[in-house]
Amino acid sequence: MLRVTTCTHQTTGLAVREKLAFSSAQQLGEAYRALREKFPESEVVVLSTCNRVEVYTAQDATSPTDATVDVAGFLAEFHQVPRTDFEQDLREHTGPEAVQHLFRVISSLDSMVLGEPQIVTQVKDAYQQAMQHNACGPLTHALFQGALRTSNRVRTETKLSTGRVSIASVAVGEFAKGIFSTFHDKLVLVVGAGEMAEETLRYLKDEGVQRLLVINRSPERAQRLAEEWQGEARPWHELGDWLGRADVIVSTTGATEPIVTREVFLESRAAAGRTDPVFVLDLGAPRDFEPAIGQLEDVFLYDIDSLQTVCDRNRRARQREVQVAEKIILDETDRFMAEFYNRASSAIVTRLREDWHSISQQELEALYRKLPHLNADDRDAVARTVGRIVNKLLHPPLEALRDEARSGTPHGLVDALKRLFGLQERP
Amino acid sequence: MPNVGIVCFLMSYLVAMAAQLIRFRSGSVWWVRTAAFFTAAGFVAQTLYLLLRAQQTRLPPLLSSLHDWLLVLAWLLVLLDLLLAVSRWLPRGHNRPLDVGAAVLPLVLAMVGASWFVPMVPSQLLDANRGWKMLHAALLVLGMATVAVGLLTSFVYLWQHWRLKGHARWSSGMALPSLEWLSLANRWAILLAVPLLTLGMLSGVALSVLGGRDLPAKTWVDPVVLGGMASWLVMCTLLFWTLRNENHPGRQVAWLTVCACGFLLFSVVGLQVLTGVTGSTSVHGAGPKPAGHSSSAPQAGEASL
Repeated sequence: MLRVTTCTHQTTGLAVREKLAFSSAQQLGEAYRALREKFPESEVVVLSTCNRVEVYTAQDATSPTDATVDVAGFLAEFHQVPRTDFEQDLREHTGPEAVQHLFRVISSLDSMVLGEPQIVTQVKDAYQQAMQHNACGPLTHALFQGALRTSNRVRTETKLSTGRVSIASVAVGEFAKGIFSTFHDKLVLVVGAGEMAEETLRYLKDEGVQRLLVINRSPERAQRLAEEWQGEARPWHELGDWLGRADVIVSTTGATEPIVTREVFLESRAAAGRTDPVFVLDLGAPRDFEPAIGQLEDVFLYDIDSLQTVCDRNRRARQREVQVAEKIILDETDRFMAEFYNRASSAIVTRLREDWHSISQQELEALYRKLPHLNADDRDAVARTVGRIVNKLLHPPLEALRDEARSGTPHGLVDALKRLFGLQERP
Repeated sequence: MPNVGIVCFLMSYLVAMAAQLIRFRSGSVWWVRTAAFFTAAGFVAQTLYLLLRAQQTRLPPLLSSLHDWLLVLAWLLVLLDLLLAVSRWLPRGHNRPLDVGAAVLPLVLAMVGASWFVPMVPSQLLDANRGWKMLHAALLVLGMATVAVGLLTSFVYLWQHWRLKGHARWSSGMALPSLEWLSLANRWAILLAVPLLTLGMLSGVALSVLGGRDLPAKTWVDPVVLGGMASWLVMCTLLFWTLRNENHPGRQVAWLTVCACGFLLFSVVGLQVLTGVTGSTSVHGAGPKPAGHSSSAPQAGEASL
């Protein structure tokens, strides 16, 4: 039985999620050890990210264990959190629903940002961690390999992951990189110290920015941001001077009026003797830069609205791909379940074949002893005939088993076959 | 070797161009691959065609005729396009993948198309000073190719500038080079083109001095020579203007480069094509169109020379 117990951003607030998360590899290792002790018969994979904590378990269908209760109990015990704090937020999926859930998660259909790529790495890491702690088995191996295959199909057959959807990533990835080919020699000026500026700085740092200046009305906040991003804080009165020298300007002040007018900007650039392109990212609301600045030659000014338009367009493009992705996920779920059910019935098929052929072989040997005058050719002919009879007799029950397996685990039929043909469990 | 006609690579480039245009709308990577595949197929066919022509005329393509000269120029541009396309599959480094095929292919198509209408007959003046003539033609073709690169980078610069100023809606699937990269490439194109063209012209002067009686008396008033000299002066002025002050706005440099390079391409290539089409006599491979020459698709395996 496949089962997943989830606690995600869709059902649970961050305050609870962070209490249930496994924040380090060491903590996760301890969790696997505890899980193995608590569920020795189960295969387990734990997926813990900032948006979700999920425990995938696979166990024998005859096991009486109630995974939901056990997982909830385990989480409460391991994290020392009262289960009443989160139990109502847990969701559980079993069988095909559990498979479909994982396939949706890895395809980023269940993510906060549709189509974000990090989830694939996070699922891969979770699977590898489980393997390292010997918590995987044949079912979870098949499940996670199926998930990786599904994710690959979704990403190659749809455009779900194309186009950036956050303001900062659009600003840097689609616009700043269209202006500059390298960033290590560019001077970045941050005006204000808002949260959006920090996010933009992360993307700019990834592109190799080395020279960073922070100017803020509050010198303490400027200093804090500059230290965090290995930059330099400058006093507010130097703003005009640095506006002229900077290549990239990111502004996020809380000013109620534009702090940079067209005239001020032109004067600053002229004083610095700069005519080359400058990228201005105005993330203030209300805007910090007069819109007329954007009409200047080689000044590329983007405000939140213009960036949001691109984000929305990319998001809509991703939304259009959801249906295609869902279809792929359904296909892959069906494929996985068919393989899963076949695997469940294959043991009984093998047993039945082996038993019948073994019986026919014993009877043939008895017959050869009674009829010693049969030569090798005659014996072969008799053996082939008996083999054909056995196969023909086996065909109807095995075919019925296969048919049944297409729509689910054929427990009833398997039990009937065991009883009808005396197939006992092997130790 | 197989018969390879102009139609083979002309059609390949046309399909590649169509794929480039479709991908503007769809943004699908399959159209990028289709364009790259047909460009590469056309390049292979064009290479074979030029090799066959060289084998038949027993002359390097540069010396053989205006027809081959134009095709070599187009071949160099396609080679550049393919090299940039390959950068898409290289590991990600400092450079972004470059989508410039949509700008390169129209120029290539224009050159291949023009080569259809000009004579394929080799110049009659190839016996003497073959080394000088080879040098003269090679320098001019390389100079022209560099001028064409300058023209293309300027076009793409203006296109990218237009997109970044807020008109990116219809071409959002494109990964054009950055303005900084284009500006640098444009500068290098001008810096290389001027010395190449200068050396090409000087070798032409040396050729006319060495050629003496073998050359027609009207060499110096040949429209191609006059047009070339005029546009060379324009290019020198552009180079001087660019070097004098590095702080010119990028868009201004791009517009001036488009004008200068466009003028040069028209005056040198355009005049050669015109002399070829109209049957005027020129010493630059565009000799009079022979009787019976038709504009039906030439095939390297069939050309009677």
